Amino acid sequence: MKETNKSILRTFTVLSLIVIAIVSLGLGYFLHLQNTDNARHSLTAKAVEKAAVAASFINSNLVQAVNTRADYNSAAYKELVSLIKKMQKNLKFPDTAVKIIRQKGSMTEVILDDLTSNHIGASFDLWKEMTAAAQGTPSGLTVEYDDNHYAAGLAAIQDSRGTTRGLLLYQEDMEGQMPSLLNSMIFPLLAGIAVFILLLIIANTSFGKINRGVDSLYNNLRRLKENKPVQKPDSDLPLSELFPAVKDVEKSMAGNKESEIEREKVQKQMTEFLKIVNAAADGDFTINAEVTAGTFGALADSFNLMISDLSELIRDVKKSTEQVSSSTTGILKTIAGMAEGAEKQATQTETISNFAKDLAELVKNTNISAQRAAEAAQAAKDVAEQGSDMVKKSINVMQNIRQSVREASKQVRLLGENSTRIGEITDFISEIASRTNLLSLNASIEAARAGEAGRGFSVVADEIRNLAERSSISAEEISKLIDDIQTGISKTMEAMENGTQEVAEGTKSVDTAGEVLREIVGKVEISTNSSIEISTATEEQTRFSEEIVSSLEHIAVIAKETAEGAKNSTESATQMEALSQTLEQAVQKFRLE
Amino acid sequence: MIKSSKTIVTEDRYSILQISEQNFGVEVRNIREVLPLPKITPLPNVHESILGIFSLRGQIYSLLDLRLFFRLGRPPLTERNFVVVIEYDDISFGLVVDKVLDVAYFDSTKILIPTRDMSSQYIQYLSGYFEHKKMGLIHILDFGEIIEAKEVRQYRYKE
Repeated sequence: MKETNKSILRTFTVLSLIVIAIVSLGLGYFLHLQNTDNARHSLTAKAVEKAAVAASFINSNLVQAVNTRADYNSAAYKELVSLIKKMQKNLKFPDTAVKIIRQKGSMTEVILDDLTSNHIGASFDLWKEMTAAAQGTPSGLTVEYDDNHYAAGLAAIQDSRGTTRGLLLYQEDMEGQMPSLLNSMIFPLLAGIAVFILLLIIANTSFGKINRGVDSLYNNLRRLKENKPVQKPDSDLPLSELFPAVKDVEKSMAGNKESEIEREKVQKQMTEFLKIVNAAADGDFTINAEVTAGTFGALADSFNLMISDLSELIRDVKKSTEQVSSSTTGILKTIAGMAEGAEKQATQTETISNFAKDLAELVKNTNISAQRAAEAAQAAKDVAEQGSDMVKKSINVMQNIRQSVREASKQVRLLGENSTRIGEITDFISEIASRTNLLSLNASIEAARAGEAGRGFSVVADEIRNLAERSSISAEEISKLIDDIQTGISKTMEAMENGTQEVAEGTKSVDTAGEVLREIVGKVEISTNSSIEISTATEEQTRFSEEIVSSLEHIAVIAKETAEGAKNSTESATQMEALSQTLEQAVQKFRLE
Repeated sequence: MIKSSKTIVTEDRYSILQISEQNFGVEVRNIREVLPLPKITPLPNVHESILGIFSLRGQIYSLLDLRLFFRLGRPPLTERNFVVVIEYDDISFGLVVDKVLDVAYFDSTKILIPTRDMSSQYIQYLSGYFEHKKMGLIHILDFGEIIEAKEVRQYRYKE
């Protein structure tokens, strides 16, 4: 009865709480929206005013002077910038608040940006508002970019004749000037909480009274059942008028009870004890016989002692059996795992052993190859050494050739010198011939003068002259021949010199070849040593791999033995498990506390 | 000219000289000696044809170059040139020649008188010419004309 009331109260409380929360939150948000809107309007209006004020300070001629990106460095632009700076300082505008823009045909371009970067001529678009501003009515709007709200005001920059030269855009970040959501919400929330508390108080008072009436009735009925005297409830509670009826029922119940109690008590004790004994016979040791004063009490006490001793014993047995069973299961698992492991090990070992055998074969082959390589290297070394000997021999031969050429050139030079001397001698002969010729001429003239007497002499003179002429001709021929010989000799000398040079070069080449061969011999020796090392290493490897094979075979045998042992163990463990199960079943009959 | 009065001599002995590839014949009796080109001492203010003077065994001779007379080519003299010493009418002088080719006997009947047809530029200094079988045309020099030539004569002592 009481529980039902409480649950009703709880449900009511929760429902009313939800309704109040929704209503107050909705109200709060509505208020917030209205506040925000109002704030925006007022900020935009302020921005428009500021823009109008700022625009009135700007010299329209300066604005007109800045047209292209190239004007970024112009005096007008700089003056404009300084003007804006000054204005920002005096009017306490935010740093990035002012832009000067201009409508140009259907495009809009920036003349001066709040940023110092060169944005002249960049496009900009707030067309509708700008057109309005250009016509003289300053207009405002809310701009939103980068998730920020800005209040913007546009005002025309006009010259003295009222012509619009450009527009001034003033913008201000509205963040921080907007009413916060929390502020808007707090009043409706407080109101909601107040309503809730009020409701709770009302509900509590009205429900409490009904509750207490019902409670007192319930209590009296229970007391009747438990043969306890009933209690009078407060007269102002509801249902208090039922109390006299309850009092009558109490009076009639009291008379019947007294006689039955004694008989029932003995009967009850007997039955109880029999029940307990029967249960004990069936193995239930959980129930104890009630120990009372008298004979039954002593019997029950002895019986209880016996049962407790027995149950202690059976508990121990049970515990032991459970332990045996769990241990056997564990052993079985372990043995199964062991057997499996041993089998796997056996197969793996066999595979490894096969691999090891293959490896041994491979190593043997490697050894043979290494030996072959060593032999080949030795052969190469022999050949290279032979080559080296050949080179040495050819160096000797070259040197001999050089010697011979030098000797030959010496001889040829000697020949040249001799031929020069022969030439000189020939010249001398030809001189003598010429002289002889002259003498013979004079002799012949003298003979002619002697007249008839000198006639014979003149013949002799003629003969002498002829001889002289012939010897002169011969001398000339000899000198020509000698010239030929000398040109021949000079050519031979040249050829000899070339030969000498070539021989020198040949010697150099042969020397180089010798060095190269020596290097080859060195490398081949290294190679030979390496292959010998490889060969010995592979021999050791062969030995090791054979040892590995035998060890592996040994391991395989052991693994097989292990597997067999595991099988035997399994059988024993299974028998043991069966035994423990039988024991457990036997003990299971007994129920213990 | 030394001629035997008893025998008629039809042959005269001539020495054949070569001057600028032209052959000239000179009677052997007019030739005193042939010698290699000696050391010449030039003389001032004389005609170009007189090359100078030279000494031969203590005697001084003047040296004559006929090439100018005969208007022949005048290559410079070398030690291969010879000098022939001429003796004519007690006047001795040297004559520069390229070569002395031969001493030969000419049949005097075959010596021809130079005619105008020869149109030779030195015809006035020739006494005749001779066709030799081997050496071709040989001009025979007339020393009488040569020493009487104006160029030579002007330096002679007047007696």
